Amino acid sequence: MERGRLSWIAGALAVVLVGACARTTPKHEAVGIAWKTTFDTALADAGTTGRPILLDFYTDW
Amino acid sequence: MDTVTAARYRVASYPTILVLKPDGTEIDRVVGYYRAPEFMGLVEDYLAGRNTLGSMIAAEATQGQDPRFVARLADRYYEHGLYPEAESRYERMLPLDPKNQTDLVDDALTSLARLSRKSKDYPGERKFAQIVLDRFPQSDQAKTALLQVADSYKREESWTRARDRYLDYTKRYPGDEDAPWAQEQADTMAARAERAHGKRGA
Repeated sequence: MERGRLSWIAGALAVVLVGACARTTPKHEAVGIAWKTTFDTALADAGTTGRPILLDFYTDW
Repeated sequence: MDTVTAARYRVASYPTILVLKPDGTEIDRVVGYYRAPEFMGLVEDYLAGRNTLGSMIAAEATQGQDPRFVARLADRYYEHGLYPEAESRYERMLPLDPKNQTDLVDDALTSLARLSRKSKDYPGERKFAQIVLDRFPQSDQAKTALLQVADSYKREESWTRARDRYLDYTKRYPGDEDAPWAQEQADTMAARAERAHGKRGA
């Protein structure tokens, strides 16, 4: 469900996702998202794979 | 550190989601909550280079007289934390649409008031909010504008003026959900005014 996907917005502060979003189909099927939790790791990974980065700043308050 | 990354990209509010090139440069951002299909549409647009701030800046030369375009560009600058750029576009809204036919001019003025407040320019905040109240009293932002005027006086510790504006709010919008809060503010302002007078008298 698409609603489930939105849960990545709630949680810790600044989580990083490499690539996955760019690969979603128009149907937005639920896929597991392997978030990186440090920006440097994501940047290094994106540098290798050439995939874009989704950088999520959010808060729990 | 997260805060360092947030500062680097001028992230000013949550949620903010950045879409970056593999080298970390920003393509664009999504600020605030969107329903999932809209959110995905924005991200897909950005990845395809559509509707980005960069593309809008390029389009300003041809669309810069269209108030709807200017309002959208101003909002985008604001979301990107580029406040002087946002401010100069919001300021163009009233001359471009003096009768507020787009219904966007009151929003622009409210944003200008908010930007003034951000830089602690309370007379500026009041000036823009007052334009909304004087020229567009029936607009969506009139309530917000009245609270902005009240709050600007509160920030300046003009307790009596602040109290009068909060009371004005409770009278104009008695059934409004913020009316009880405005009444509380008015009472607090009255107490502070009294205390200030007491001190002066002592």
